[in-house]
Amino acid sequence: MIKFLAFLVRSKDFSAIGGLIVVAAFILTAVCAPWLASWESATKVALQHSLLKPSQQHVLGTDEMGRDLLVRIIWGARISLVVAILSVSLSLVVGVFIGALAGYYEDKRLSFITMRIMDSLIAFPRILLAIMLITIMGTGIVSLTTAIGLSTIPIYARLIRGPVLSLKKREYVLAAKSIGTGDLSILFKEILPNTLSNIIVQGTISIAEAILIASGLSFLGLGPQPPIPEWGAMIASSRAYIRSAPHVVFAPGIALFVVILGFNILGDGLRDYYDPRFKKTQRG
Amino acid sequence: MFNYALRRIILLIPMLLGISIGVFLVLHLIPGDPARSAAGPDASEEDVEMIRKSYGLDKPLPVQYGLYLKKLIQGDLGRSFRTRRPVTQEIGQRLPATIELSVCAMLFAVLLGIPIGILSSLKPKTFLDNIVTYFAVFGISMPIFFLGLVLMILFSSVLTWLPPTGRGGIAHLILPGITLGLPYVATVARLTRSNMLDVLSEDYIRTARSKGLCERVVIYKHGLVNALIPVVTLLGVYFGRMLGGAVITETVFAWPGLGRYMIEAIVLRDIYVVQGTILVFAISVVLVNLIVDLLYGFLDPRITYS
Repeated sequence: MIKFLAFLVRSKDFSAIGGLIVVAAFILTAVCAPWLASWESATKVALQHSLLKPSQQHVLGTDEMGRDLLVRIIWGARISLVVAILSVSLSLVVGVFIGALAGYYEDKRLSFITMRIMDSLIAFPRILLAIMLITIMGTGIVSLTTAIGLSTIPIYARLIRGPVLSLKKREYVLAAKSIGTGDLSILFKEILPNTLSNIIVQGTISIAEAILIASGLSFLGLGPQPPIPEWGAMIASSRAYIRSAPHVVFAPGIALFVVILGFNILGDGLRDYYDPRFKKTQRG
Repeated sequence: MFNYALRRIILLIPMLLGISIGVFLVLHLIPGDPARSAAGPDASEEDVEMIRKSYGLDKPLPVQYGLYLKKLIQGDLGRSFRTRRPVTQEIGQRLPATIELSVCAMLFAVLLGIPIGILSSLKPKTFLDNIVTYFAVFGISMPIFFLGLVLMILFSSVLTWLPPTGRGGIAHLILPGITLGLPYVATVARLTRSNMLDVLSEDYIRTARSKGLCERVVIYKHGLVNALIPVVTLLGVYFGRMLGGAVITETVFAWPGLGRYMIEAIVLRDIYVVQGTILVFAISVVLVNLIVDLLYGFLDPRITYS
């Protein structure tokens, strides 16, 4: 972590530093939400205060139900973070497991079939896969998280299979094999730790994508239901008032954009850190 | 090439069968009794039983799949519970709107992205080049529904240049088309740029220059044509993603397409419509990918398929 910061300062990558600050602020807000404001103040309807413009009392104004927008955005951060972390963890664990096995046992017929299925699933837009899963599981935070997680598995399977294919032919792996180390032990102790940088970079970008897809699905009404303050759902329920009170849409919209941007820029910075060659070839 | 094309087309059959099984299972994994939701809340037990029989829902699963597949081949996707009209007909009415929107978005992304990519590849590390890099990150970070609402408030509420919602002439198409296409402009530009940079450092470009061809011929006839081949393959992937984005864009702009129809059907649990729309989306993705793969082989004769 400190090494990474030093690298960013040394290479004068200020946008990645900005991304890191945004991500840190987002996580801090999400974790501290219960101490910053009560859940009740984020969900309780107070129609006499509806659609107030930003003021000292309500820094970002209020929504059509009279709820303070800043409080809802703080709780929305918590929901986005939980959905993103859990869905990425689900896809990461299952996807890495599938990709690692399919790469290590590349000659097995099952590996071939599994990877073919993964390749065909990657061709499908993930949001459509997630919509299909939500149709089966119903709406809500749990099924939103599961749907995003399951639809992201193929990406991790493909991400890990390549490095495993090349790492398993390395000398140190052959050496471990020759002294009688078991297959699974080689795979999990010798090979997978060397794919960690790929996983960290993809994981950061996946969190950005998970927040993006989750907000889109919630906007369509397929995520957490009102009055839960999910950012995409907030935009969907307030969009009718966009002309008279644009802040009700802009506040959660800008929050979404900034947080997703932060994770994407941080992901780019991490990629440069782990693979400096990438910067040279891709960015000219 | 011919053999490859034939094999790809034959490979379509297991793909389509897989899709049909997946879509068929959606109906059976949905919680609740489809016969009951078809009959409506006030129906008696006998009515529900009758509907169960008439839809074939009382038979074992493989038999039901066989029946489903048979009907599917005849173009029968069942009837909407809500309107009682055939799903095929309802989809047929809405599919052109979605195709119109996606094609417009794709044209926007390509017609703007490729020229920008060429320009920034000819002058790397300049202002334009940096802007493209930033916009590419912005593009993948911007929620499409928020972008749509911002454009809507800017161009139809503040400037009143364009109609906010609905489908009609070209004017109605502009905002949703830009919303869906804009995030891809910078991506297409960056892709064109990096391919151009790769191609322009090839030996045959140096040869073309050294034999005295004018720079324009070198760049466009020798460089661009080769740089665009990888772009074409990725356009297939982008088209699939745009179909996904179309679901959201259609909801934002009340565009009467397949995506909005699917979301409405999911909310109302109109199961045959959900099945039918998912099927059409899945088949479109597969077909676009097939076309792009074949096009790739056609554009680049060096590629041999073993």
